[in-house]
Amino acid sequence: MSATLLIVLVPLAVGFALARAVLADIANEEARTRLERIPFALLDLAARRVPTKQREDLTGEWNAELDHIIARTEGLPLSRLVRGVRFAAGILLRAPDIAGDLSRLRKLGTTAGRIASGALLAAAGLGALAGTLWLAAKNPPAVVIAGQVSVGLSWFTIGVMVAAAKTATPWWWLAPAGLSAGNFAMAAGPNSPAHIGFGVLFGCGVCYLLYKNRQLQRRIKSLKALIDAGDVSAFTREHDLLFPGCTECAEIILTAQMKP
Amino acid sequence: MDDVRITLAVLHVLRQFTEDVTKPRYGYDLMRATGYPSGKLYPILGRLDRAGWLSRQREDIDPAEAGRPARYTYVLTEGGATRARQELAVNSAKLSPPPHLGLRSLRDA
Repeated sequence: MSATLLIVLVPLAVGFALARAVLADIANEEARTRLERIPFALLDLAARRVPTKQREDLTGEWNAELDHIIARTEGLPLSRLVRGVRFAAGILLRAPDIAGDLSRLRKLGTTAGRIASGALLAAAGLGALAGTLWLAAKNPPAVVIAGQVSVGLSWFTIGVMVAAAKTATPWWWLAPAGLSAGNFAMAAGPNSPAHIGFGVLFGCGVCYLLYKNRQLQRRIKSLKALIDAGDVSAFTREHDLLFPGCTECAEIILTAQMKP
Repeated sequence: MDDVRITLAVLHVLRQFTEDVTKPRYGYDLMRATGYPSGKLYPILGRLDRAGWLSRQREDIDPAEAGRPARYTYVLTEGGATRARQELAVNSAKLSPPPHLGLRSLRDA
């Protein structure tokens, strides 16, 4: 290698290494800043779930507490993120209850499920898309199969999520269980016993969930009728039977008791 | 002052306040003391506040000077302290094990 070439290449290599290090540092900083904003973004979403007149007051308190949590974890980015997200997610899920928003009776039992199912649906859709693209890039003929699997899984996810949200069934065990079963059945190939069995089970499962949903809706309707009629003791009794351990509706009971 | 539906979680929170009825508490400190997540604690604080058992106040600080936003504190009101003590006493009696399940019977078993 000639000396002239070395004179050109060495500074270039050093410059490239420096630029790479700087870019990596910038990317890290960008990622860190964006991650740190996640809890605050969740609180912004929570603010949208409370009545306008209480928004400023409540968000002031939540943001100040989050600021305190973050200040306590200075130098511990992972702990900061986990604690911040945990705090903000809890607030997001229960924001109407914190504000004492009685309009939530309309959607009793489904609020958390709707948010969670929406988030999971988005994540599952992104995952399916990424998987399809990855398979397409790796092995072009597989793209058709990969697409079918992804679409199948996406529809399956939608079905499970909608059913879970409608029945107020805990989505956190239904979703992973369903996705695992779906993956297993898809991997076994079309018309295999696993595939057919899964289809039958899925169909039966959805029917059962829809049936439970109808039952639940009827009971919620009768609950609403009780509270509208001012029969607080009957409402409390029925409520405790329907939602054992639920403490969210105390405000509804309190308001009904205060009615003249 | 209004009634509040008393649950074990509400009692647990009231128990924290009655340790020192004059001491203002922050939400996050109560989360740590009770072990409850924000989604469980804050609705309880909200109910107690609206019912008049708790008083919620913004810290009287200058955020620019303190270098942080003003936090909110909760403290039992006078009536709230009385009701909290009553409820703790009543429910403590309700939840205490009957004599035949007491420590003596466990020791003898």
